[in-house]
Amino acid sequence: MAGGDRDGAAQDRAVDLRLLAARVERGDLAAFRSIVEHTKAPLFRLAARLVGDLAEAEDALQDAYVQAYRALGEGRYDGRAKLETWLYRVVTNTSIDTLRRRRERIGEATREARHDGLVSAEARVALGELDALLRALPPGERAALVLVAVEGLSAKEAAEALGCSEGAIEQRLVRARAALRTRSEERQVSDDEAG
Amino acid sequence: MTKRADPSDLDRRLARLAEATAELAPSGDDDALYARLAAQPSPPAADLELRLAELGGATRALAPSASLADAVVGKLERSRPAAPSTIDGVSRRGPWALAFAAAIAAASLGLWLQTEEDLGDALVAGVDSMEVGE
Repeated sequence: MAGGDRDGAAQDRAVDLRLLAARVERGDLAAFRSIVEHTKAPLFRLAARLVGDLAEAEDALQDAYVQAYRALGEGRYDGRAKLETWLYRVVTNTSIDTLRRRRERIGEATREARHDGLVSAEARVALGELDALLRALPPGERAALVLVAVEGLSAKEAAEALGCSEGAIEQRLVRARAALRTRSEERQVSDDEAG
Repeated sequence: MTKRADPSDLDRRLARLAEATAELAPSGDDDALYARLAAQPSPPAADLELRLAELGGATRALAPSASLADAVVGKLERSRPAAPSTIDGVSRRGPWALAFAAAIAAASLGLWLQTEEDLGDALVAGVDSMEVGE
């Protein structure tokens, strides 16, 4: 997968990650820690952009890694895709689950993880704006828009990450853009009336 | 100097083209339609795309907690099943192990009692033979 914002992993690093994955399959926790250290930066960015909140992104990423470890141990990673691509898919799905849970429990705060990473004020403000912009969208449409318009994936790559057809991605994009345009126009009208 | 087309020829040609294209109908391929719509954003949508791309750039510096790997490994270690102990082994084998232990204990007790009795008899016999000798 050639996402515009993901680190350009060198081929030898990809080979190393596959070897590490093979060791994890035999229960090697230290090898899994290495995988986490190598992949956490781009995957955290992905989770944060999808859920729009640093602490929830940390939670979602931890859950994704736990699921990935179990899947590797049970031999559910077949090695056809690069490990980074496979993890990207796992994190996307976990983040969508987080968004769905958030919609079910509006107003409740049940976070486990706390984020204490070094993040610039500019990045925090940008993430807040991104979340405010996309908050009203259903999780599937939001994820499609983030993967394509923010992460820089093609429709085909986004379809692979979300486990759906390219046509479904295009439909979600059209609906999401239309909803955001309508919302923006409504806000413009209310601002004009207030002014 | 170019030759100008005869208006009547042009009308006839347009009529033929109209007839030839009369059967055209939409393909019903919604996916293709959505793909074209997605590829041609209207001006406000273009603004939206631009803003999303800018927000993508501004969030490049987001980083996870330094302790993320420790937290993940901690969760995995807590969820691992504990290593089996001797007590686990006994409780897994359950009734068979208990019956076997009881049989061994009973046999040991019987053997000890038998030995005790034999030893007593031997001592008594020894004392008797000494008294007879005197």
